[in-house]
Amino acid sequence: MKNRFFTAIFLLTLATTFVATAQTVEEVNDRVNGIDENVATLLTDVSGLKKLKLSGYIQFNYENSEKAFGVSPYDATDTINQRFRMRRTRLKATYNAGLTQYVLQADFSNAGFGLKDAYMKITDPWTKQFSLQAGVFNRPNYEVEYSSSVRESMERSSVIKACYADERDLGAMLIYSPKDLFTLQVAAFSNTFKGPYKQPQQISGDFPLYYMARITKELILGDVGLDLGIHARIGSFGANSTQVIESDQPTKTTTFTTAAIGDPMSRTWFGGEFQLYYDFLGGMKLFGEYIMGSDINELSTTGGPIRQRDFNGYYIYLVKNIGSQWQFAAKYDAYDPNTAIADADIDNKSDLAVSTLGIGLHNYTFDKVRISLWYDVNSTQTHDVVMTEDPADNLFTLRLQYKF
Amino acid sequence: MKKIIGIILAVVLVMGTIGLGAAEKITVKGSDTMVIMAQKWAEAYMNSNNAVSIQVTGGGSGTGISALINGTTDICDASRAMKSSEIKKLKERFGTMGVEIPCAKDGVTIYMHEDNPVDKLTMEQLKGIYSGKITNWKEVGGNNAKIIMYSRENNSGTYVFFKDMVLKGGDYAASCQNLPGTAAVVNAVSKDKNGIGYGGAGYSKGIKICDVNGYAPTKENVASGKYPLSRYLYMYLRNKPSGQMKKYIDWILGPEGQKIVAQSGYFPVR
Repeated sequence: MKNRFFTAIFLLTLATTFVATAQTVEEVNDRVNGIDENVATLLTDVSGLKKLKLSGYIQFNYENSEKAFGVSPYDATDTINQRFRMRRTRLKATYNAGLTQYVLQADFSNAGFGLKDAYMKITDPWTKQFSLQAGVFNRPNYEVEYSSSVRESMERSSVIKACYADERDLGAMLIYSPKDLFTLQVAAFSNTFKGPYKQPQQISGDFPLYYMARITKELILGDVGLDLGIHARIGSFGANSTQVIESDQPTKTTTFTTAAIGDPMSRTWFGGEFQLYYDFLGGMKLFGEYIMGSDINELSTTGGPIRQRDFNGYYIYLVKNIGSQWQFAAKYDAYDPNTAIADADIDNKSDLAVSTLGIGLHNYTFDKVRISLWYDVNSTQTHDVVMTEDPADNLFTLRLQYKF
Repeated sequence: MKKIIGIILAVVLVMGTIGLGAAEKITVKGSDTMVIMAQKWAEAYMNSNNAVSIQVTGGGSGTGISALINGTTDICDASRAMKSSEIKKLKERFGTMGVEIPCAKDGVTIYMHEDNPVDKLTMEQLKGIYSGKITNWKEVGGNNAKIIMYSRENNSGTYVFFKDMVLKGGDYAASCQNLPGTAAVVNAVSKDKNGIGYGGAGYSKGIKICDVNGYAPTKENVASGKYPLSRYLYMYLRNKPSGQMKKYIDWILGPEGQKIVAQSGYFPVR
């Protein structure tokens, strides 16, 4: 009897323990499943956040120039020829959802911030060879698209600064890139965002859209990589004056060509580019571009004459790596703002040709940091009347850059 | 002016000499798929070559390629080919197009739990699962249970390869769980009866391997290309290898290095 009683107690205890254990396991399983669901939700959220990428760079310059900087409140005759300068303070946000992208970039300064890039890019889901980009973005040109965070010279070339001031404009661009064949960029811009003319020329009869196209092709020739490209910028402004000074005339001429208000004044030019890469003792590259065409010096706002002019310009870089942390670079660029006028007819400094020889060294020892030493030898065409001697305006730059 | 140019040139010459002198340490960074194999290569090579020190780290193919472009690694291991945008950055920074060295072959393997009755899938079915259109195992001949997808993170070359080959460039389903390494994917699938994952053939332990389009990721099927997720594994360099680097690369491509490829679960290129 006693044995039966203890056996019953034992079995009851065992059964109770078993039920309790089963309940505990079930509870733990429920908890684990709950945690799994939470983790899955978190992972999905984190995965979404990974589509958003922040990048940016800061460039801090020490500059020492032969020519005074003309810092306010001093005037051009001051002797202030050294300065610190924050050249760039950029922050860029890119949301990349695969076939679609959103890009916003701002440049910060003491005065606030300026909008640089603001565009969307949509790639076709079928062939993935066509993309449409719309908003404010760099115009399709090699040195324009070559960010100053990687560019070896401290500033862009004179001809690029003249043709593509502020680099960006508001427009839309179609990009066609069949795999390994070529890349074609075709764009239209409204000329309203930035650049030499910040507002549409309302008084002209010609709506100021202009068009650009660039085609590039990458070749591999043994150990040498050769990228070739051509581009064109086709556009015009409607004349807002009836008086036009032709390219070969002095600016102070009194003999004008007559135009009707709204007549197209050509702002059209063409360029050819090359980039050569050679895996020679750590790698080197040689690249350059030539641009020629016609432009207008200024649009009259007071009814004065419009100046038409032909121009050309080019640049060439030589860059040689020394190990993985040092890089030597040299660059020569030249710009002739008026190729049609005879030297004897020049009566304005704006018609003088300029050139710059730059030489420098970059160091990449510290992660994300580039330290640059650069010296620009600036030369201006001399002229008996307008410029009797080449002005002393060479510039030394020490730049610290942080890029992430 | 001449003085400043002279100083710059002098610094160039001095630094050039320093730069050319340092070459005994080799750093390797990149693909997690390849990291165990790369560590085995390094250990075996250093055992017989005291003249060189080799440091191997993972992080993913994308991380390795970024390090190659930034100059912080000598060799990048990658389970996918470099993109044209990455080659462009290498050109801009170093003036070279990079050197691509296929060093092993792999079949990206579909991992499943050992108790999962499904043992074969088509590429279309895989696309349906990972794009979120197929959500239940019964739709592909399995149990009536929700499919739990495991994937790699987007800095992984395998993630990109799978996205290109299976999803045809489309997006992964939002419910897909991204894990930091292939070992983590294998571990997750081995514990999840309803799980599915993918990764290198070298990690296929403790899970079931699923055939794709009727082919298993065997040496023969990967070599012949019949297995639809066959791929090369690469090493990328900035420049043509020379000195100790060249000796190491030659050794990897030679019999000893390729033997380690096979021991690691991958397939030799030669």
